[in-house]
Amino acid sequence: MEKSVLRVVGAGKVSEFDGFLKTRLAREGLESKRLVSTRRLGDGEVAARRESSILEAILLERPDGAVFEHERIPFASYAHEWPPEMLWEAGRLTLELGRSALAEGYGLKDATPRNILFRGSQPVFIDMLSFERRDPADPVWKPYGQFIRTFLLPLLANRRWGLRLGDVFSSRRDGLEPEEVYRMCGPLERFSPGILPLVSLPVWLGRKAGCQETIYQARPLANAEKARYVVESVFSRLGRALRRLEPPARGKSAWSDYMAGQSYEGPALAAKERFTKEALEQFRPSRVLDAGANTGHFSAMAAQAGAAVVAVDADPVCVGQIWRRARAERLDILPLVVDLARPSPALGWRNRECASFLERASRGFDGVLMLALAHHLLVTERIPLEQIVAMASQLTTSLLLIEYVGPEDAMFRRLTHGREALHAGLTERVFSEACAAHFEIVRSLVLPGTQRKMYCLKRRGAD
Amino acid sequence: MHLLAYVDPGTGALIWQSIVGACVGVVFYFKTTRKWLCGLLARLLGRRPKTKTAVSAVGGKVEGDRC
Repeated sequence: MEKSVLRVVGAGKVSEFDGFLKTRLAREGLESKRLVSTRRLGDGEVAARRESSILEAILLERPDGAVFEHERIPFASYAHEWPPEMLWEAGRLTLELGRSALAEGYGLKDATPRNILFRGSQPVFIDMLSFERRDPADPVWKPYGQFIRTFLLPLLANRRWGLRLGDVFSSRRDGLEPEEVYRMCGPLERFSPGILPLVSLPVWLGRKAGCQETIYQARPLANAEKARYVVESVFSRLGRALRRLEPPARGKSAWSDYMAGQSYEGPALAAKERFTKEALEQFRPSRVLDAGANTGHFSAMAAQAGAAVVAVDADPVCVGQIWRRARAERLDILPLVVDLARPSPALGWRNRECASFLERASRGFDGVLMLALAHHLLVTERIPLEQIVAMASQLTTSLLLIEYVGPEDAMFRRLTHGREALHAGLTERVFSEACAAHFEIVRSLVLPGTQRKMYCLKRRGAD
Repeated sequence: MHLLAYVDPGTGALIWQSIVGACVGVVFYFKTTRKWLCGLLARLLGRRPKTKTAVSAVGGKVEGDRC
């Protein structure tokens, strides 16, 4: 995959964009990496790149355009895969940039999570053309409604009613409409301070206004300082609303206390950690996928060993905890809410706007961890063992660390809910044979005092 | 001229933003007038008027001059 992304800016927009890149906001944003790296290519560089048929075709349509180069963020992710913490952080960055742009005579023309990708745990604003010159006399922030729909209302619905962000964004391009949230509220709830300005009042005013087009006409003020003051107050109010919706640090879920409890005594956990560490030291993977990461204990280990880690788990609370830890300890971990049994599908117009998780992840890692995961896929999701191993071979180009959990294990028995007979044939030998179809077994280790066995595998055909 | 040609402004959200903006505009008027009066008073009494404090990026208040 190319290491950079090229953007062709039409002739009419080049000077505005060049002007924005000279602002203090752009310089500081690029330096701090809150803005995606951006560099205009010289004529010679453009000529050298024109061999690419796509660039050639675009430049034929826009002969006077300029070509800019951006870094490629290593793993693209979308709001439907983020825990609430990451959506909140993306909203915070959006407001910060939007407000800072005012002082430079620029503004954001849209405010959507699609402007943001995450480099590890850090949000990066990627849609640089969202910045445009604004009319200093304009007292309205144009994307106000979009910011509420795509950041505040999903966070509010998640906090109040447990509505998952995946459910919101996988079926809606532009977030939650106030009307939808209004219908979720009880009659008294519609008058509560958190709901009234964001939901109820816009709904009532919108119903009353009907289809009057005069609402959308510009009404610039005579006093630019006053207009700026009014717009600044919009950002202040949105900032306060966002702060009130900050996800709590101590969320609880079915799996958030897994590492603190249940399945491992001290020596077993220590042996598992040692085995993992030795495998990471031997293979030195640069890009690791931790599948079924829970609270990221082994993701952190991989990151501390120098890998860029993508950690996925179906539990948003656990993924949020991984993100908090990654931020606090400055670990290169991108945590995502992905259920491997039904990973994020391709979405959008003709299923081409957002690639599926498997498309983005396929062959994208030289190390994959599937620790204490396979038995969940086997028992709860009824995925055949051969399919699980086949998927693992699709994800990794080299290392696979996978944990066998036998039918006698306490957690395994808890998951079967009386259906033990379905898995009576599962043994270590059967598991090893399934792995051997795609992998060479480098070494294995029975975890002391358990029915669990760790496998260090190398993909067949890997260097 | 249509103000908003890119994102959907949300009719109700736009109206609410405009209403609140009008109220904030009134506050701006009073703050400006008070600032002018403070400046006049300071000049009459031979003192230098104080200056504005900074605004934070997310949710900070704009502090006006204080007499």
